[in-house]
Amino acid sequence: MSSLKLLLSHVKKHAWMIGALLLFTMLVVLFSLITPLYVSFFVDSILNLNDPSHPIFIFITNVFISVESFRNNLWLAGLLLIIVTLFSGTFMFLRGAFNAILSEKVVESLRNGLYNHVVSLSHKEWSSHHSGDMIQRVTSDVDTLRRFLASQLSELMYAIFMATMAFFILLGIQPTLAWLSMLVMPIIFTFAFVFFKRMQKAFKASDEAESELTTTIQENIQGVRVVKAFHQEDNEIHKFESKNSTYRDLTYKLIHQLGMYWGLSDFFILLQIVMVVVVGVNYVLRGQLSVGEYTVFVSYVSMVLWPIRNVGRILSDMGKVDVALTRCAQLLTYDIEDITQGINHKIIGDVMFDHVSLIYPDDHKKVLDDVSFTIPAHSTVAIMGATGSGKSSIVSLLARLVEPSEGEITMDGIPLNTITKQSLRSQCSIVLQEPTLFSDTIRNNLCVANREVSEEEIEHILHQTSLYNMIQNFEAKLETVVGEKGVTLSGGQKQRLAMARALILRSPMIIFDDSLSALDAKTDAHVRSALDQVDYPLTTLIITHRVASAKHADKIIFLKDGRVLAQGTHDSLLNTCEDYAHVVNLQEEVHHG
Amino acid sequence: MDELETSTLPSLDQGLWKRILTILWTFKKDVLILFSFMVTLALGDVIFPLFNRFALDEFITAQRFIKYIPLFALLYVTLIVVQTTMVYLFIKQAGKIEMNFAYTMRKMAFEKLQRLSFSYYDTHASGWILSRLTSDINRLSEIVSWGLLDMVWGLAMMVGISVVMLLINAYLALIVLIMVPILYVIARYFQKQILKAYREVRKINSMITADFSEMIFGIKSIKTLTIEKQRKEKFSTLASDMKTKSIRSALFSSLFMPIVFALASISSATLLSVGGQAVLIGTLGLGTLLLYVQYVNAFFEPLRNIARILAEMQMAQASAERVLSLLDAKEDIIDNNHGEVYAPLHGDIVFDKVSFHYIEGEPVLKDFSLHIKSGQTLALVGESGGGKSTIVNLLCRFYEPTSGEIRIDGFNIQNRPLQWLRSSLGYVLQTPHLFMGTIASNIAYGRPDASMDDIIAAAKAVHAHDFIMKLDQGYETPVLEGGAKLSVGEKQLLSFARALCAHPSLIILDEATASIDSHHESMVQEAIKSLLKDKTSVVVAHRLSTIVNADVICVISKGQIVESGTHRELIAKQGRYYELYTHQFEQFEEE
Repeated sequence: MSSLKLLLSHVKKHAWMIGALLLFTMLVVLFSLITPLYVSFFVDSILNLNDPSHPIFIFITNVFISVESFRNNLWLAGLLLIIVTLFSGTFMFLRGAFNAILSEKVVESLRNGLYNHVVSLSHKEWSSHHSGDMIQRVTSDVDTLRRFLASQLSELMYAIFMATMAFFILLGIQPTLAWLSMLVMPIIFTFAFVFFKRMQKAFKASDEAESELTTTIQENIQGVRVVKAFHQEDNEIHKFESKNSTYRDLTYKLIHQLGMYWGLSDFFILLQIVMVVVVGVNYVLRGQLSVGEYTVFVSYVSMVLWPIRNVGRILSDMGKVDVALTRCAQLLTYDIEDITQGINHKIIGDVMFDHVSLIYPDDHKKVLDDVSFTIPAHSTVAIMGATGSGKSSIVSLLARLVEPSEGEITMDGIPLNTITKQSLRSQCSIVLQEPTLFSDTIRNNLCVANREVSEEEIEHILHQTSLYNMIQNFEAKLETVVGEKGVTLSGGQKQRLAMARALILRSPMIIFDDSLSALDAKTDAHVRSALDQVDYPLTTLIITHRVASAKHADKIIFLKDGRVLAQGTHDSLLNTCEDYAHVVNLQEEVHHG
Repeated sequence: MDELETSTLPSLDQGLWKRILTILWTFKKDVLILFSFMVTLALGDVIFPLFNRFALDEFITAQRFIKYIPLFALLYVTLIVVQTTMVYLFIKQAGKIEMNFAYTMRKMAFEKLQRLSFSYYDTHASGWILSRLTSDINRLSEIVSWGLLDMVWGLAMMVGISVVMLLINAYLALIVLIMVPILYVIARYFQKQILKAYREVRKINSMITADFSEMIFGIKSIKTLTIEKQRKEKFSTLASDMKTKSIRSALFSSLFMPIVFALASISSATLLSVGGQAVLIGTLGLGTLLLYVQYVNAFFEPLRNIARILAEMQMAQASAERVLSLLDAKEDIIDNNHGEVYAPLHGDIVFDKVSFHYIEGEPVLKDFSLHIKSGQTLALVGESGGGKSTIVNLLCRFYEPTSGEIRIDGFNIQNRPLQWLRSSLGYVLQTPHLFMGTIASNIAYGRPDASMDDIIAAAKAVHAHDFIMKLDQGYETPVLEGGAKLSVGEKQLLSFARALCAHPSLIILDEATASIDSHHESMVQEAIKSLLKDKTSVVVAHRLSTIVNADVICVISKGQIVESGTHRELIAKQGRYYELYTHQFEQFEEE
């Protein structure tokens, strides 16, 4: 999708508002142009007694108040000016209001669209894109668009209306002088456009210098222990110093160039004004222009030229808007997954991996290589192996975050890929190695997927996961806010909360993705014994590298380099699998040594 | 981030701004030059309408001095050249001040950060500190350059116009000036409202960003919990709230301008009625009347910005407060560096009745004493929170003891330069932290002048050489962003090499093996062996094999040594160590 198409798709619903925005901008321009005309009428007709020359004032003096009564009651003339201003003020407000409503609605709809897309991204996409980059797209890129819609768009409309309408009014007064007054307009416009186009590079250089400076500071703060321990403060200052001065120098150079631009463009505009003044005076002297009309010319020139100067800048800046929109559009092309496609199946928990291999895209290595095993319903199975042995990929396969490259997986005899991801994931609760808790209360975190749980049940599960006492110690108990803005929890506490969150679902299957091993031995044992006592049929899969977590399982599957090296009970593996015995030795040396 | 615009002070705090201005005053020459530019510019802006008046009154109405029109044009153009040169110069000058001020503040803050001890980092999140050095300093520099410029120009302009108006016709001038107090009151009101609305927008904006990044970082949790729908609903509530608040804020802003215009038009209307009468009876020139009409608009121009500038100043004040709080933070560790040269330390370490607490009233160590002989390896074991890491932190002088003293080679470390201690220190953390740069520069981090041979020797000693050579660019492979993807174990080997490369005589391993899985274990054990060889070392222990080989093992509990001795002695004793060791060894793996 192109950037323009993306923008249009979100603006379409609010097309009438663009119409309103155009209308009110036009009215604002019209009324601001009337004021100098009115002053001209005041000077020419009321003070200098000429017949009104402009149709508006001919109309007013004929229908409402004659020039004579104006003359005798000058306060009426003042009142009329206030009325004109009140009108233009009202339109100005309406223009601002519609502009804000339009831009905020478009941005809201774009934001929601992006969010809904990103939350549905397939595993392949979210594992291959930088999260920082995605966040940037939905925050600062959307903000670039918002700024454009909220101010630059209407500035653009304003300048264009102003230039054309003023020009036509001036043409009606004195065509030659009208042309002369607009002489500098194309120059100023082109100058601004070309200048800012050329400046893009300098802007970018300054931005990059700033982000490098930020990275340097950030790195220093995060690595403070190392910096201090190795006594490298001075070198760090030195490193920082060079980034700090680079940023200063690049940005100063940029501002310097901007100064030249503003100075020069001001010069052009002021030159144009002086020309209108001098030529205008001559026209008046030769009787080709009235005094009032002369003042109209002088006012209009500056009213037109200052906004036009910005048009060049806005147009050249539009490249940035285009880039931002394109980046958002790109994000929307990332693959999403359909979690509702397939059949809904009530899971019993009988899993079979049949010669399954897995290769991640952009990788040629087999993460899993010809893996076959079964997980009988209602049993506890442990999968063991070192980092990189592929044990976590089995979880990804079971949750259908990824699909096998070869082989087949069945659940209760049904091919896994015919079951909807939604029903699969909602019935297999996975406790991740690095679970995310949301910035919310503990209660809302626990009940995030299943909101109707009784207090007793929550309490029971908190006991099972050794969380009860900790939460009782918090002043707000279950209503304590966790996450970035709330209480900071330790890794183990987070892990246990994630377990409680999974247990609350009463799913037929629960999977610990290297999460039990993050707990201390006692809590680990406690949680495992709690699992044995649940009052519903439960199939448990424990992914771990810790022997103690695995050894009581009905079956241990030992993985090495993506292959099943051995499977069986703890005791049988001790005798048959040398690698397993070695790991046991390393971890439990004590008992044998 | 919702503290972004909130100042704890209600209005402008003079003391605070005085300090900021004192810092700004280090560039007083530049500031004064900028002031003179702005005053000149404002004067020019006041003079321009006078030219128009002259043209109207003399050339057109009185039809005098016609032959001087070319001279008039020349003067006009000269003034334009002066004005536009001023524009160029003041932008350049303000940019210079902005960038130099930001540079200086940032430098001060960064140097301060290098001197602050861990107690500061413990109580301030890294994101918080980072914002002080980036967005806060940026905002502050902007206000002391461009904000000041706006104020000086606006003030000079208003004073200039008032003076000229009063000089030409005091009566007409009063018609305009009477509006000033009214406008000021209105501007203050709008400033408050706009600022309030703006803060709300900023707050919800940061919530939106937070929610989005929470989603992206937590996507796996969201998917496995199948709570996409709930998250979408929550986000859409936020987005809609953002819309409502932004519109509210925009409505306030778009109401302000029309009101200023309406007030200005009352002035203009009065001028037209009163002044028009004077023109009709011939006591006032037409040019003068139109001059006043022109001045009205110019006069209200700076006032229009006043709400914006006051709002910006208040935000900048909040920034200033936070930056100054960083600059004022207490430095706990005083570096006694007077340039003396001391003999390098050997590593005979004595803790003499050392007490320490992080939080008042919660002592971590109390009268703790310990002796580590030069060349010995001491292992500290015990439950987490018992004080093991604190002992190490005090030894590294990351914190100072609240009482008692730590002596190395007989000297109280507080009386020696930090450099004396830390340049002999080899320190490995639980989670390896690498810096941007190459593998080689990371190994040489503690001794930037290390030769390539030294670097390779260090890497070889900790068995990191082989995996480094397998990387595309060997030692020149960049790490971190866009660089080699290293496993945690490999990164930890690099930090071992880094420690070794610094030629330390004292080695500290602070749970250094905790994040290494059993796969890399044997490799790391070898590395540790060569690292600890012939050096005094303190190991906060984790892995069994490291402890077993230690010369002394201390079991630490509640800030006390409950047992000490060699592995064999302690096992034989069948006390606390034996218990930990045989039954609950895995508990050490708890973070």
